[in-house]
Amino acid sequence: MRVIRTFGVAFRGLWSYPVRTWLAVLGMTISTLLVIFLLAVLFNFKNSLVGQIQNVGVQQIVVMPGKLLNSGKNISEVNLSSLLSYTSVTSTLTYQDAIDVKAQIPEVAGAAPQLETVTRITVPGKSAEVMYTGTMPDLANMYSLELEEGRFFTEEEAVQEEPVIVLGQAIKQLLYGDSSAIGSKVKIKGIDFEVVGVLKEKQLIGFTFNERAYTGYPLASNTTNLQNASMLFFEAQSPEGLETVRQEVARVIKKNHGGVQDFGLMAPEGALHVIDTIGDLVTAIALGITGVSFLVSGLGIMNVMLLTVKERTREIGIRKSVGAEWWDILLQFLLEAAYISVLGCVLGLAGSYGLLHLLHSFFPVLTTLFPLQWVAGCLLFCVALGLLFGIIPAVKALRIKPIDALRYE
Amino acid sequence: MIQLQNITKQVPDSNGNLDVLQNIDLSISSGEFLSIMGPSGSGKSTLLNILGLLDEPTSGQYLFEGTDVRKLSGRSLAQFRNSKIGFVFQSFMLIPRLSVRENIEVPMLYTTCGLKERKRRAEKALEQVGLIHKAKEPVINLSGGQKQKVAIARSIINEPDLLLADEPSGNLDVASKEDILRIFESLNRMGKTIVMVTHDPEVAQIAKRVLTLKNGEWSTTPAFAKTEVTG
Repeated sequence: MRVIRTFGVAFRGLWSYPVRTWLAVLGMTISTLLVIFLLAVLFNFKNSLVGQIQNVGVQQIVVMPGKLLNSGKNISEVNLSSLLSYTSVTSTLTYQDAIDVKAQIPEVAGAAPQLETVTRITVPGKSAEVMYTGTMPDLANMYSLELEEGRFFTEEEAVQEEPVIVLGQAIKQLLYGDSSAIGSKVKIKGIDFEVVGVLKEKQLIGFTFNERAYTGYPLASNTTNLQNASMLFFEAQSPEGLETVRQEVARVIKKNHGGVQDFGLMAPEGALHVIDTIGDLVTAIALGITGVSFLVSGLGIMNVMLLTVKERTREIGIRKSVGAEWWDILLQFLLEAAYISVLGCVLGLAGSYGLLHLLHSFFPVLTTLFPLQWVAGCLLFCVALGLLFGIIPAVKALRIKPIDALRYE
Repeated sequence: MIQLQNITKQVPDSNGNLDVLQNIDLSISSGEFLSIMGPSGSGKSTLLNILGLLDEPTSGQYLFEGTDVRKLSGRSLAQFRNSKIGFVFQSFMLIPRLSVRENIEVPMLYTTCGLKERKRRAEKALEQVGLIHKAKEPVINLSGGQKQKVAIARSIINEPDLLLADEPSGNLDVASKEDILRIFESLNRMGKTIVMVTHDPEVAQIAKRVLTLKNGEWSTTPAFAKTEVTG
């Protein structure tokens, strides 16, 4: 009961010098805001990247042209630092590689070679620059591409080089505005394509589908005179045994390339590992730097509390003269320090939460996760910080003799 | 109730130690109203602080209701101050940011009493000093006389047997002084033991017994008719 009462006494005491208290609270607010906002941005940035990779599916296998210099290792097997010795080369990946992998490995559920080049797309009266992309319909499943209208082209249409095309959202808006594009004709490389589908807006970090126009790989290859694919995408039946499937994919392509490993395999979990490593490293560095601000705020709280104890010496004397014990005084001033710290923390957390949502409104790709564990952890940390930096002033207060305190002018 | 034997208080000064109190003997019975007079620097406030367990004597024995208080721990001394002694100071010693009621309730914060009991006792104390209508008022808005009444109410809220008053009317005008003295008389009639330090003979006269200190010793020269020679 008496201890609980001291919580109230301390809270009232906090406002003996409100300006000073608010300044100390402000310091703590800024520290919390700095640390938690930075942590939240990094966490959500990492989360967005991971989410997008997981959204694509962890059973995806990406084959890229290039190799690790002087190493027989696959790109997915190496650590971050070794990636620096990865070098891109002119692509030797082919449509046939994709067809062979899908045909020879039963665990591969989908295959989508990709060929791309920037070219001009025209409709009567309008034209636009577009990333003209040749692929196969499996790509739509792999990237969970949703259609605003129409459909994706079929395997048969792709193989038979039917001039059908699926437009990304930005291209459709440029050429058609809010009108429907389905059934209309667009011209690319002198060929009239029928628009069969329009994709919903979609972008991943560092990659957008909105500026692309998709048609079947064979037709795109013929119209651009590009034989080799810029990348090959495969999807395994399930995440189990993914490493074996990856090795099989590499074996089939290597065989096609006369035994030369002039390509690399990137798996989402490899990317996740890289993101995790970079994310953790950046977070640790950022926390290390911004965490110093907590030390500064703690010293600010101690300074304010030392002044408070000095200026409230008489009050300490009054309380002791009417029966306050040493621990009543100790607890009162420790709690006052903790209140400043926690109040600053609460305001800082609220500010971080608000700023994160503000940032999200500018960059929707950034998630707004704000785990409750952070709130609890930050509050506990701030209680501990307040108590720690309140110890010296509180001990000073309890050591004052009542008679000296009452005589204090 | 209280027995002091050979109480001495020395404080360090530039010439070594200064004897503030020398071999003070004093016996105070329950229900007594005692005034201690003396000029400035005579040691009367020091004696009051020793009686109130706010200060320690350098030597001598202090028995409070048979307990040798010099052997008590800091915690027990705090409990004694809380439950057995009430203080009234010349400069009121109120906490300025608190209201009248909150100031009065301060000693009760260090007891096990619940909120209801706290409220009941605060109201009773306020009624006794005639300030019930000012309960919610911040103390900084009160006059000197009203502030001293608040201090008296605070001193009696834990229903102590002993009230110690250090120049309680020293900062007050004539009307307020009379008010305060009437309250002390009334409290004494209700059975409280009161020890009051003052340099004002008029104030001291309301006590049943008056002692005079001079240079840290009981004075043999009566200040006026009521003055006794020894403690």
